[in-house]
Order: sequence, then C-alpha cells, then structure tokens
Amino acid sequence: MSENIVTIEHLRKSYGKRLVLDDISLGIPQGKIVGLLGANGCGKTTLMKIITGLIHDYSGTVLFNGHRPGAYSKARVAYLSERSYLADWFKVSDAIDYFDDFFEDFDRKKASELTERFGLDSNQRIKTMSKGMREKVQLLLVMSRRAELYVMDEPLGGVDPAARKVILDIIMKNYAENSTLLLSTHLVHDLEQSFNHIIILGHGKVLLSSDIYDIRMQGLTVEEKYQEVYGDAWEVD
Amino acid sequence: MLGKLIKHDMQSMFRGVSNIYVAAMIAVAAMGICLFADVGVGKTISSLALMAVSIAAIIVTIMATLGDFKKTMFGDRGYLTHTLPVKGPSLLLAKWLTSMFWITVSYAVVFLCLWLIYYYWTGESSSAALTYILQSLPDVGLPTQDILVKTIILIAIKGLLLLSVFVLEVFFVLTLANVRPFDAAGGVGPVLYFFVVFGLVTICSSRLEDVFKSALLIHADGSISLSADIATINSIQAAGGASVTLTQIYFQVVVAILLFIVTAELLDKKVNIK
Repeated sequence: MSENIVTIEHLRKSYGKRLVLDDISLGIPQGKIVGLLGANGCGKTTLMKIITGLIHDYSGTVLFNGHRPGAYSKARVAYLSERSYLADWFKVSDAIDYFDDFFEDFDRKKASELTERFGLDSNQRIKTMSKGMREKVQLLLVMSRRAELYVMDEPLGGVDPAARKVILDIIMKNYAENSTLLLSTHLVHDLEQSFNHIIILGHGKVLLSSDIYDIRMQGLTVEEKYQEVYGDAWEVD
Repeated sequence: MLGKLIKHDMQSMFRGVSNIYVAAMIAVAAMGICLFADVGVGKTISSLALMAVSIAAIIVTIMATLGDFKKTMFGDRGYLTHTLPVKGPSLLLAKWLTSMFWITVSYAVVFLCLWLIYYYWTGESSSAALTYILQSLPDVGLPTQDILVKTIILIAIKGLLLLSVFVLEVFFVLTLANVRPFDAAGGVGPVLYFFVVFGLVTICSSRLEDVFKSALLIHADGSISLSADIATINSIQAAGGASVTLTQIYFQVVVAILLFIVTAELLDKKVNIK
C-alpha cells in the first residue's frame, strides 16, 4: 500500500450554518492520479482550497508530507484554479517570468514548448484573451512545474469536447514523474481511464475512497461505481 | 523572495498609478507650448490643470496602492498570491514598501509641480521674489528661512510616517474583512472596521498627548533638540524657533508594529480566499 502525500483527519468546514465537509478523514495516495468526484456544492473546491492553503478557517488536521499548508507545501504543490488568477496586463511571457521567479521547480523550457503546443502568442496580453485561452495559459504554467502534487479544480470544466482530449493528453504527458495528481471533475466518463484512485464526496462526507483496481475487480466501471455510490447522495435533505 | 515580491508589486502598482503621471506630463507639455506661443488663457488653464493633477496624484496613488492590495490579496489574483511559497510577513512587507515608495513619489511630484507652476508664472524674477518673501518672514512674526525649511522637512517626514501607519491600518482592515467571523459584514465590513481602528488610534494618540508631550525643537540658531518638557516646548516659538510634536508618532509607530504583526499572522493562519 502506497504512502499518503496528503493526510486529512476529522476535517470540518462550514459556510455559515451550511456544513460542507463533515468530519472527513482520508488520505491522498502518493504517486497516483486521484479523481475527486461529486456533485456541485459537495465540497470538492473547498477541500482543494484547504489543501493548497487558501482557506484556513476549518477544524481538524490537514497535512502535506507532514506539514500544515504553508510556504513549505506551496513550494511543492501546483494549483490550477477554476478562477482566472493572472493579472490582466500580463503577457504570456510575463506570467512565465512570474512563475519562474517564485517556483524553483518551474521549467521554462517546458513552458515555451507548451506555449507553442497550445498555439499561444507569448506577447499576447491576458486581457485580450478568451476564457479558454486564459485557462490554457494557467494550465501551461501549472504543468511546467515539477511539483510533488498537482491540484486541479475542474481542468476540463469549460472546455469543448474536442479540446478535452488534447488538454487531458497534455496533463497526462507533462506531470512530473512520481508526483500525485488530484483532479476534480464532473466528467467521470472522460477521465475514468486516467484515474488510479477515486474519492467521492457527498453530503459533506467521503462516500468512497477506493483504488480503481478494487472497483474493476467488482466488474464495474468508475462511472457505474459513481452512480451506485452517488445514487442516494443526489437526494436533497 | 522579498526582492522578487517587491519587483512584481512595483510593476503591478505602476500600472495603477502611471496614468496620473502621464496626465501631469501632458499638462507640463501644454504649459511649455502655451509659454512658447504666448497664449495667456492656455497658460492659466494648463497651470490649473497641472495643479489639479499634482494634488490628484497623491489621492490616486493612495487609492491605487490600497486597491492593488485588495485585488492581489483577496480578489481573483489572491488565488495566485496565496499559493506562492512565501510567508505572510514577506507578502505584507513587500506591499507596504511598494505602497510607500509610490506614495513618496507622488509627494515629490506634488512639490515638483508646485515649484514648476511658481517658476512658470514668476519667470526670471522668481528667485528674487522668493528670496524677498523668505527674508521678510521674521518681520511678520514667522520663523527665519532656515527654521522654516527645517520645520517643513520635519513636518513632511512626520506626515509620511503617519501616512505609512494609515496604509497599514487599511491593510489590516482589508485582511480582517476576509477572516471569520468578520467577513460576515460583507462589503461594508472594511469601511466599518476602518472607522473603528482609525477612530481608536486617533483618540488614543490625542489622549496620550494630553498626558505626555514630546517634541523636536528647532531653535532660533538652527540647532535641533528633543524635549519632553511642556514649558520648553511652549516657549520655543516665542524665542523665534519652531517645534514638531512627536508623541503621536511614538504611539502610531507602536500601533504600526502591532498591526503589521497581527496582519501577517492573519494572512498566514486565518484568512480565507473566496
């Protein structure tokens, strides 16, 4: 059994009176591609923001390689947010310079290759780009890091089906060897061949955390298992 | 990392303040053209425009630096800022230093513009007129030129120090507004917290001045000394000198240090990026 790169114990997080994560405990196995699945509002983004150190207001323990989220983990975790977090006036080259300045694991050469692969102009400013192009810039920045953990919040969310395959291919071919990928998605079918492990969240709880091998041993696909586990969780309280 | 943060913050804030300096340069160019072409109305309008722009420079710079802090820390760009491998004190120090740099630049621009306007209107006679005015100061009961210059410099430094505390106060309230349960107040939160913090600091520093007074004394012979004796401070003006009180500064420096520590701690351990 592999070690966990992230260990979560008795994690509780609420927004006002709404409890989003209710005393969850789980481990994210090292060196695996982990799918974080669940319906809208089930706490996937919140969990990712806690792991990446963007949310501090929670109870319980979250440890990355034994360290609480902070400068240590941020140097080793690459986060792809749903939000467009680059300054409007940045050119693609400015964004690459920015990442190169702050992240020791950033690979400029790979960033240039991916800029070309995505067909982006390195002198184009972010403010003149479409939503899809901005997402590509952020993806190329994240994938140009040799991180220990990649946390990706809906990387295929706003992408048309034709581009999905290309993006997925880029993610799978460019993440650092032996590193861990934590991907949240609704598109279970598109990603099911890529996952080694899945975590299903629902009703604030971990409904399932399982190795793909165990699911296949039951004669089920990830999508079928998801529907089986998530069937009840669809129901509104 | 601090150097890199400062470099990028400088660039980011420059984007917010550069327009006002472009406007000042256009006004200066218009003044030059009007002077060359000897257009009376143009001279007046361009001078007024430069004066308005120079005063706006300070306001715009302060607003832009505070806006940049809010945007890069708690807006969408906060997602990048707070995933950088740096600690809260570095983030805060870089923002504070760059803000103070641009605010100091805006101060300098105001002085430069006012000098330019004065010189523009008085022309070659400016030097003689200024010397006459300064030499006449003691005749109307004001300090001599030397004392006046020193007083203005000390007041400007004091103003800048107080402004740096003001910037930290705003950084603190913006941060506090992103920490539970203070975030419940929503958009009005920062305004509300600012008035509470600013009011408390102002009241406390003025109360402190009632019980303890300390000032820099600029003596009639131009020498400077520090005194905490109320009688000496009060008598200095009668002796042809001037004084700049420091009690407020002592208190506000202590407040600034506390605000810095608390804000950095909140950034590291309590803040939530929405």
